[in-house]
Amino acid sequence: MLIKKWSAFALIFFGLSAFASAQQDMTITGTVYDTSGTVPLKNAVAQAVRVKDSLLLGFARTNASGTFKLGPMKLDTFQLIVSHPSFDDKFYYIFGDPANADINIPKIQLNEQAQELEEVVIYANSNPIFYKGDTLVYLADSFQVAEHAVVEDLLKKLPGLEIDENGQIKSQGKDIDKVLVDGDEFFGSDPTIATQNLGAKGVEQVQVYEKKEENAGEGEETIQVLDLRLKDDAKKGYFGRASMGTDFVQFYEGELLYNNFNKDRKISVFVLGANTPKSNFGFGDRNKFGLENEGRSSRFDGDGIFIDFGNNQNIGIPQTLKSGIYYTDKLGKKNQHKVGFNYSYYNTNLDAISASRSQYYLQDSVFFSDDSTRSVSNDETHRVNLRFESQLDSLTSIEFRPQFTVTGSNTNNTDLSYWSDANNDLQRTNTVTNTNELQSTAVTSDFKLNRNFMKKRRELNLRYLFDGTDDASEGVLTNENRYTSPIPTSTFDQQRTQTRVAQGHTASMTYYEPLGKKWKLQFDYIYDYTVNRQDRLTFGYVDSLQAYTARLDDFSNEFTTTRDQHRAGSQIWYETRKHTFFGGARYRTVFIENLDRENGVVTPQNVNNILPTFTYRYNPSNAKRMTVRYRTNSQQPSIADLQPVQDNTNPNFIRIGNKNLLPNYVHNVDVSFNTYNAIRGRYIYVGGSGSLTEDAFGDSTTIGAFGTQISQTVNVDGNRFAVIYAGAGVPFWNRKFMIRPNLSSFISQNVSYINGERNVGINRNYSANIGYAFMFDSLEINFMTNYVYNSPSNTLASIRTQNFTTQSYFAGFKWTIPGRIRLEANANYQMNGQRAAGFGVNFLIVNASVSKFFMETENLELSLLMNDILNQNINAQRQIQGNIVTDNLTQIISRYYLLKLTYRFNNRKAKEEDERGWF
Amino acid sequence: MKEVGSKILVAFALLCATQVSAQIVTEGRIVFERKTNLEKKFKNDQRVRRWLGDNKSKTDQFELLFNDTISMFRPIDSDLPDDLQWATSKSVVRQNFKQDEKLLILDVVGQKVHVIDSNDVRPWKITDSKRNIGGHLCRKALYEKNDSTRIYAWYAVDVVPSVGPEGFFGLPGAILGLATEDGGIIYFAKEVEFKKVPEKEFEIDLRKKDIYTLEGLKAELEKRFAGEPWGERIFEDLFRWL
Repeated sequence: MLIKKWSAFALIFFGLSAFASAQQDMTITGTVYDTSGTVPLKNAVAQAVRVKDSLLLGFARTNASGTFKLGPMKLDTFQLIVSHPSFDDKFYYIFGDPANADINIPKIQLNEQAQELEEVVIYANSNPIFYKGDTLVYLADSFQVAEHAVVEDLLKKLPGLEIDENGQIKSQGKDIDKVLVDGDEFFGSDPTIATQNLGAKGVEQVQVYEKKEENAGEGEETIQVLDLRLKDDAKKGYFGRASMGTDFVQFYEGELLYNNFNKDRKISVFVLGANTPKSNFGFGDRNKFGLENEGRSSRFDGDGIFIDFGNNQNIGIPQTLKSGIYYTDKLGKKNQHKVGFNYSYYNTNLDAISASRSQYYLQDSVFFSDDSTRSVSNDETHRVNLRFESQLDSLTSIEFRPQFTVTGSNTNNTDLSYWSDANNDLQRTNTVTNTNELQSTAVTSDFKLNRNFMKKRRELNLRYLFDGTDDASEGVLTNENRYTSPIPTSTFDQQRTQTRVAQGHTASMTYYEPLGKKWKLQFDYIYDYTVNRQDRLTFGYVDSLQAYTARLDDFSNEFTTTRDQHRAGSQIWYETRKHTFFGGARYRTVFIENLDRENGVVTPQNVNNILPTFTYRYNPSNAKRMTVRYRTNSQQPSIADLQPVQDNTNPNFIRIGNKNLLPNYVHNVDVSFNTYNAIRGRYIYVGGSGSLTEDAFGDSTTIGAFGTQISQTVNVDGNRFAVIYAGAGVPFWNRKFMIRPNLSSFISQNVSYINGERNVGINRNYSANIGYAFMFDSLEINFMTNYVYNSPSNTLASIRTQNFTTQSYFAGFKWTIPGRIRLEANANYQMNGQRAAGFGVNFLIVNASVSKFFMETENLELSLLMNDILNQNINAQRQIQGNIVTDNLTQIISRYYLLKLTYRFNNRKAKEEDERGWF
Repeated sequence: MKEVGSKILVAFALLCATQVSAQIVTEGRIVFERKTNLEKKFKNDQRVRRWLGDNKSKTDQFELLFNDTISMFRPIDSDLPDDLQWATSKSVVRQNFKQDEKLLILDVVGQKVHVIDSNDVRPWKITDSKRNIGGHLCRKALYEKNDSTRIYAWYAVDVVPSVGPEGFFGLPGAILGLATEDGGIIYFAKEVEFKKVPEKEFEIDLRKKDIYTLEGLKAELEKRFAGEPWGERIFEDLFRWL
């Protein structure tokens, strides 16, 4: 497209003695006139464009008398273009020569603007070339090309198409402005990238047509394009990762992730098998392979979606097998329908052995229990998700997502506990075994409709959600108590079956009505209907019959709770670039009917609430943000908390339901601010939040002889929580060193009743941590120290709790050394202070790995992973619940080594990199 | 019939010609619309593409105020909310051609950074391709920034000052269209207005500001973004037009 065409030109020779001295300058002067040749033109432009490369050497404007002076400039051969917006351009060719360096063109007379009509030659071939509307279509397969020919070779064979040495294409003598691939500028607008790289065999059709320039302003510019329509198989590809690790003795870890794409169709397959703590795919993998339903679950409660990332709890010895397939595609002429399907299978085993010491504080005494527990469980889940999304018209879209889950699980618990009095004298030895088998089926189905209107920002969202579960479980519980006093040994053996059938229907509507450009009103309405039925039947073992036939009424009950909720409200929104505010209130009325089918007694409840909410966000720039938010919400009690029956799964800690339990009501305030200075690399964040719960769920516990407790959930007032936090990242020494301090503190207040007396448990927690990082080109070193101080207290004078601390220190490095080797190591030292005897453990965990990368693409990685080299890993926790303080130690996987081979691959034979996660 | 038609056409063309010649612009204001193809911009970043949802492109408005010695290119900020604000960055460029000085206010992830440097003289290649932008006939020119980057500019000879968006200049007329080669980012003039621009429009308060040179800032950011996952893109975004 560089200048070649000269429709009207004059060639002016100023001498032919050509060998110019490079140093000499030349000037050009001239006078420009209109078509008549009498009126000089002001503001015409003379442009000197070098012939060999079209470089603009200089330009000059004419003055009022129509003259211009261009130069001084170096001697060269160039085209002189004289332009004026009202006339046609005039072209001259100037061959610079030292003999005549000052050139004057006395009269440049511009011509009227003329519209040139290009001659179009149409070939009359019949078959492999035809016109479809205004589009000229060549069927590529009809033209013979060599095996590895590129598109350019094909184009040269097509009649009516010409390609010059620079790759410029002409169709019927007219320049092709753009080469598209499947209607898109897939490879940028340099046509040679497409024509000289794409294989000719992949092309199905070559189409030539005129197209409105996408970049056009309001002008109706059209350009001629050549559109390569590829065969479907040219857009195929795949990528993935396979890895296998083993210590050749006990531990293994293997995974395969594979994604195959073909146009819009994507299929992912995954397999993960391990008996190490690796039980999930990272966030990056889930994104990259589209495994949207793996490792997290979400739940809709009318106020938003809560996402649980389901990370490995790191307790016990796991064994994991996960596998599944994901499929998505787009259908329809405009790809307006999206379909998706996925199936996942999980089989996980967990063997957890733990030891704990609990301290129980009563009004007049204290006692202790030492527990040893082993829990072996197996879970097997099949899950199918379907998804259908469709853009019905330009304003309306629908989405339908059903999900089916079938779970089977069994657990086997054994617990041995020693109960002692305040003097640490043994009173009772208790052995409990518990087996449980559960079969569960769950169906959810989510239907959404979104409608926009011709009026901008007016919007209607409709949603219907169905939720159904059907659970059945069966288990056997045995219990034996041996006493040091002359009380005879007591035992029992019970069988329990439980069935639960729940159904929920939620219909919601949200409507936005704009009021001007910055304001809008939101109206929403939710109707919610749920029926939850739970039957729990317990039978004692009758020796004479050798069967579980004696119904135990204390532990058996048939119960149904029905809930009917209407919630309606409105909010006003104000949105500008820097400020966003929305606030309003909802009113809800809930009718609850708790039916004890054992005796036909109905407990009706009617709860009415006003739920106000507001949010203010201030975004002065992309690097600063402040948010203030107040929300209210209300949670329903679970059916286990409602059903009036004793649950003696743990015979030392019996729970009993409360059919009069009301929904709670929570006020929540959040304030946060953060700022980021990109040039300095410094960030600061600070914030806090607080909550106050009315009708909170609290425990009312009655403690019997030898420490056996019966506990019921009751509504309590006075539960509060507040947290404040602040942190920063500050770089030094050209960002080779970074300090990240962080402070936080919370206070929680929880109300409970112990043998009828009100207790307010307050826990104050202060934590400080500071991280240091050194970053060099190939070496990164990190240090972190963390200190947590807990100060619990209780209003019941009898409960004596001690303050306790946790300190941890971390150091680690990552180092890439020549020879494509990466070294990583880290050490973590944890100190648990002021714990029960034997539980104040300090431990040091050291992990290291060395990786070597092979192949030109570094896609093959061999690594040696060393986990917990000093074999000290243990999970130590302290829990405080009402009047009970429990220190817990759980055995977890400690030392192991893995030799691991990882291969990343793709169809491009290029380097394949993992996507980094955020978490 | 055909002859009569062409005569009318000529008469009409002459009429237009007189009007156009009366409208040769030497100072005024040009409103630009910038369209960024977000799919192209983030084609190597799957994660960001997911955030974009169905938003395939983003449009930002700019204005170029100019006279024969000074030009000011700056965003026209709307007060309306912009969910995609993070997806593009907007710079201010003031050029003083007499003093050969260019002042940039760059947006580095939400932070304003001031740079003063000289005006770059770019080698332009002239093509014979023409198109009409905002009622002005423009010729296409081409700047080869490096082996892999070419930038297209369309200039109108009837807008006399040699000015343009993002500090691009040096063509025989104002640049009314500017685009990356792949069409991923394009500026097109929506409106060319002849008017006297008050001097105060060209003023920028530089008190209490850290002033960088272009090389100084590049060195600083190279250090800053080394090894950061988004650094390369931020860097490319900032210096695409510089």
